[in-house]
Amino acid sequence: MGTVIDGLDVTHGGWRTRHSALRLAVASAKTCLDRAGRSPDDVDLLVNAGIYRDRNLAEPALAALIQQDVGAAPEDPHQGGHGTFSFDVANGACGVLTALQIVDGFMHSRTIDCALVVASDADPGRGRSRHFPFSHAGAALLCDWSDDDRGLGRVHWVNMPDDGEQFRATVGLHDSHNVLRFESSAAMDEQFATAAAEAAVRCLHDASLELPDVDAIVAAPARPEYRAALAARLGVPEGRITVAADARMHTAALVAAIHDGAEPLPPGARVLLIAAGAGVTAGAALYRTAAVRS
Amino acid sequence: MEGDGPPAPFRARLAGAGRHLPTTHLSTDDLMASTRHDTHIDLERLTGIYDRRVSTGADDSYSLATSAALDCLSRAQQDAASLDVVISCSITKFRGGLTQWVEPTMSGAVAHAIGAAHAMTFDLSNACAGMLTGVTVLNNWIRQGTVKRGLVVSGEYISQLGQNAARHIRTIMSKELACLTLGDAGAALLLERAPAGSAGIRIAGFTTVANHSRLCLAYPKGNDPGARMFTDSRGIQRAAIASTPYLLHEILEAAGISMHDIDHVITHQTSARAIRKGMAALTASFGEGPRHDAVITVDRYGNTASTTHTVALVEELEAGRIRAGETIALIALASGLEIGVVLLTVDEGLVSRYGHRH
Repeated sequence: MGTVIDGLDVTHGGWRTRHSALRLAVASAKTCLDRAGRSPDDVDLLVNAGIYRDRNLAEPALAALIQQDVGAAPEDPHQGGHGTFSFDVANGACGVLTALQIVDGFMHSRTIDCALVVASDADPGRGRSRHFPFSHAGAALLCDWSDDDRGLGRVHWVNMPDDGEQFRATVGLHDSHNVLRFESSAAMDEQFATAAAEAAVRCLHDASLELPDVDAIVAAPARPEYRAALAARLGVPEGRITVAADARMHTAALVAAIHDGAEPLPPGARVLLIAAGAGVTAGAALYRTAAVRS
Repeated sequence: MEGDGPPAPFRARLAGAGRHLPTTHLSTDDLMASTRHDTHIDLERLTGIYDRRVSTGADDSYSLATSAALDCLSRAQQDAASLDVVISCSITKFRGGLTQWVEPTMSGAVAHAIGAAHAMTFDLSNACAGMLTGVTVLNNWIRQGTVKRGLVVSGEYISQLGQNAARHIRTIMSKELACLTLGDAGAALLLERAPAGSAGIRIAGFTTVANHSRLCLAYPKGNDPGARMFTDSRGIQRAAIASTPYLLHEILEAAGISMHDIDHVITHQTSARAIRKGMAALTASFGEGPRHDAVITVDRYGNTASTTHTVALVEELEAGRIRAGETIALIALASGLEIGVVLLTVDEGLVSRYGHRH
């Protein structure tokens, strides 16, 4: 029993979307719904896990703007309509895993039948950022519920608090302008991999499984240094870990990795999802695949 | 958002509510005297707000959230090490002055500061509905048995938006008028597993009326520190009054109770006038009102963004106006447009933690 991915999409940024996380998220969400043959009004819950957005917007949740632009239950609530509920989560490159865990809770209680997780990042641009390190990309996951043994298992988390020493992104006044800036340490990917491996070990131990029992390992972020460090800690060849092809993808990276690593597998395959990000925070969960429309 | 699945094995009880208010007062008179232009706005008459608490720089979102979290845990006599989850739900994430931290999360920083070494952490953002959205997520996990105990926390160092607005506002028609109502506060709510059927959160429901998602936007702009916020206050109020009664009808029906079964209503605190107008619309829609008048704390604390419900709840608990067994409707109204209701029954274990006058 668990939340299953019924469809997914990854959208790479182009000239028109290079400063708009909103447009990227909306494009992915629409494509995802279209492919699955679902209407925007089917979406009960929309969780946005993207971080870097238009104008460094703080309010409202970007999810509300995404909901409006996708056209999901935009009108006032009325008799018979179930409406859509939208909000944002932020947990760096782990955000999609957090969002899936939240969706799974509401699916489990049958509060919702259909959820959309979106994640997109874009350079807010126009003097609002300096040395933006991530690709412009968006992704969407359409989630459903399965009563059999498929779907998302328990998510295990590990925190190794570093006060932002490994990676930090802040917006503050710089030369009289509010600017988004980034700082990272040379040891960032090593530290992320340490937390990620710990989360993976706990996850497997809880399920009484070992790495050879899983059909695929899917991880985020997508940087090769992180993948190499994670592979070394897990004692597997690098090639066993699928990450997004675009190494600079941020919150959408886990979806892109699922697309490449889990989608080709037959239904029922066992996938280990691993994500790590600033904090340092890392999460891991087992996922048994269902048929995915992408 | 109650679900059609099998009955939940547990209920989430409110084990503690904490807050932290900066000690510095800023009266509406003093704030309006600081505007760059002669605005001729009688803000106190318009909103009923005569005072608010503001950080003078010593407090930021992080310190307000941390202090509130510690206050909450101390009220509940609970150790932070027992927390399974810490969710930070603020709009502002200022730390070290007016520097907004995008990554890492505020929840991770707060969890580390209070000693919640084993807690899963993430930030949730949903404008002024943030904390009640966090409560809705945590309530669902606790009911299903996924977690035993969690903290929903928020620190809002948001009064800088008022100071920024004071430099720009010229007339009562300004889109930045609502910024002048803002005050700073930290707030925290501790939820924990309780047997099904005991006092606690009876139901939590939300909807997003996304047609109105652009009625209030806040973002860093130009050379003003922090951020600026642009609001169509009348548009939001119109939309809220049009949509809230329907959601509340639905929630009460799902909970199997009537309006007169609600003892206290705590709405998001935007202005005393807006709250009274909204309550009049609810009463007209239901043909009856709750047992007590809606709680108003905005007059003395201003609109403290995502923390307002908790700030008001603690005020009422400390004043002894909320008794064990009573039911409180926490109503969220926030830009998005987010409309939510959390129906909560408090138990003696909670009420006894606060000084009774009665």
